[in-house]
Formats: sequence, C-alpha cells, structure tokens
Amino acid sequence: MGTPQAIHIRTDEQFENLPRAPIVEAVIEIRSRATQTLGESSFRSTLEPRLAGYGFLDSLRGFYGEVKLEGGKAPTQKVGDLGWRGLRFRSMDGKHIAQFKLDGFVFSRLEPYLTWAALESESKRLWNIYKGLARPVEIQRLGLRFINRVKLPPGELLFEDYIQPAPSSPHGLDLPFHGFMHKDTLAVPGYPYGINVIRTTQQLTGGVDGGVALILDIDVFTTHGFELDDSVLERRLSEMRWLKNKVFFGSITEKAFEMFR
Amino acid sequence: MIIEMATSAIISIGSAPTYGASETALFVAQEAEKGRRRLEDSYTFGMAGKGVLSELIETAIACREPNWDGYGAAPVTDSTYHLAEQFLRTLPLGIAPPTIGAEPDGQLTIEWFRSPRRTLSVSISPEGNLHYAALIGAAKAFGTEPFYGDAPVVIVNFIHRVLAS
Repeated sequence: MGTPQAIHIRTDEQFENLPRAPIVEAVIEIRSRATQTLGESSFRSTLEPRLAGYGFLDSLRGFYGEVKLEGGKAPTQKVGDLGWRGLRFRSMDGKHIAQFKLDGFVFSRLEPYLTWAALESESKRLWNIYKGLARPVEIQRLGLRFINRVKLPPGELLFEDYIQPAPSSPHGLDLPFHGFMHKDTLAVPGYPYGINVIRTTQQLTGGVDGGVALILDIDVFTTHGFELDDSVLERRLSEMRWLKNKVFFGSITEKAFEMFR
Repeated sequence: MIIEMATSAIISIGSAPTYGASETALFVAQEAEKGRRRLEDSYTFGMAGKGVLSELIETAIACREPNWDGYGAAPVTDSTYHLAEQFLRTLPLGIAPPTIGAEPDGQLTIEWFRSPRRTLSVSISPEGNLHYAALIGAAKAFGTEPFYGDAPVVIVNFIHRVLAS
C-alpha cells in the first residue's frame, strides 16, 4: 500500500450496459432531519394523495431489546419502544419501496433494475414530496447503495471465477471455503465520499443442495452535510454513481461479465 | 498516511449503512452485525466486554422516572438510552471505556477522564444530538454534532487526544 493518490471522477465515462446485471436492490438514501412536526396518521393522510401508483406498506417503529447477564444473578431483560419513525409505501408492481422517515427519505428499486435515469428520476420526484412536507434544512448523509447477488451454479464454490480479489485460505493451509464475510471501507482522496464494500456468501434455501450466492454490496456515501440544493445533490449522486460503477466493474471477473451480458 | 486521508474524507465512523428494503439487504446487515458483535463482546475490543453497556443500562433504569435525583430531574427516555447505546457501539473497536452518567435534563453523559485537564464529555439528547465538551491542557472545545448512527470523527479524535499519553 503506497501513498493514496487523489483520483479524478469522470462522470462522463461510459460503462458497459449489462442486460442481466445481478442487482437485487438499488437504493438512494437522503438522511435529513424533518423540521416539521410529523404525526403518524396526519403524515400518512397527507402523503397518500400525493403518491399515485403507491400503496401504504407499513409504519416504521423503533424497538430495542437488552439482556443483562451478571454472574450469580438471574438475567434481566429490557425491551423498549422507541416510538414511531416513519412510513413505508410500495409501488403497485412491488418493485419500488419508498420510506418517508423522521430522519430522512429512502428509495429502493428492487430487481429487475432498469436504468439509472429511472432510479434517479423517481427518487427525485418522491424526495421533492418529502421535502415539501418534512421541510428539512440540510442533507446530513447521502447514500447510494447497489446490492448485487450472483447465484452460483450448483456445487460450484470457485469464488475466484466470479469476484476479484477472491478470498484465499491461510498460506500453507489450502482448505475449501464454507463461506466468508469481507468488508472494506475506502476513502476517496480529494472528495467527500466513503465506500463500504461487502463481499459475502449466502446459503440459498430450496433446491437439492440449496446452493450458494455471492453478494457484492457497494455502498457509496457522504457524511459531509450540504444545504438543500438540487444541483449539488445531482452532482454528488452522479459522482457517487461513477464510484459505484468503478467498484463493481473492478470487482468482477470476465467469466462473471459473460453471465451478465 | 492512509489514515489521515481517510479521516479527512470521512467525517464519521461507524457501521450504519445506507438503508435497504430487500431481504438481501437484511441478510447483509445481520451478517455484518454478527461479526462486529463478536468483537464487541470481547474485553479487549468492545464496550460490552468491558461492562460499559451494563453500566449504561443501570444508569438508564435508575434515572427513568421523573425526579430521579429528588430535585425535579427529567427522566432518561428509552430513546435517549438507545441512542447512547448506538453511539457506544459505533466507536472504533478497542477504545478505552468511558464512565456513564445522567443529567437533570434527561440527557445521558459519556465521559472519558484522564486527568482534570484532559477530559471529554459527550451528552446525548433525546433528539439525537451529541453535545461535546473537551478540555485538553489549555485548550477547550465544545460543539454539537447530529447523530445518525455513525460516530462523528471530531468526537473520536477528541477521545484519542484526551487519552493520548
């Protein structure tokens, strides 16, 4: 590892369009505290007429549980209700989930992923509705997350055929993998961004042996707050998208590309 | 060198990801949490292993009723307790254990004390704000950072400075 060099984000760079891209969820999250007092029922009744094509999914509440263990004493348990946190709506086709919360807005596109333009445009439309009602004054955190899942052919556990760098067993002990969980957090010199990259496996249910999927979860984020300015939001999303693409295309092998083409 | 670059580019530390709604997002969150919890439960690395989370529960329970100090103090709410627990869990692994206290306005206080001239106090409000005050030799610093599930780097840096030998 040498001294990190400042990189140059080139948002006009073109990336290959993959018709069978393994994206199971694409998320844009804008964390921003509501300044308007929002009540569960009034917020819902105000939102619903503005969300044509969406239906109410559920109300978000916060809970937590703690178990305290002390030597020689019976364990004590504490469960708390943290109260109402927001509302979730789902599009009629079940492919879009929008969360309108006290601390921000989250938009998810589930598989199949369509296009960046569609993701950005729908999230922007819903964010403007949220902004008008919740009246946030600043964006505290912006996240762009793409979760990819590649189902491996039955019986195949050659991770190096699909992702790079692939996990490797300890030197001198060449044992087969049962699973792995690898998380990297990367800084982006010269820019206010960070990237969480998680590579892991998931045992699939169903089928003869269940099978295994590889997950590549790319979460580009910034915690440098900025004022509500659409042009800044647009530029940041565009730069974050470039970073996401660079991570994705730099993490899969040629064999995987063939699967997604 | 790399750490300096990372610190300048990322202004908070922690594990709160961009929220997802799919089953795969939930699976990833659970797996990531499992790995970190194992380390948090160890004495060397975690607040749970050092007994800080137990101290937090005890303080929250002792101060959950109004007038817990006999002078009209506001109660520590479940929400404040939960925010304090989240904040402790997002601190870098291996950080020295703080002491826990409560204030008459219902805020929970987390304090790192090395000497009377090297202290850091972080108060957590029910609204999710972290009010901090540091005394490091002749230097004083204070401020407020919103808490969104990541430990602000400015506070983490003060912890390191207070505890530096």
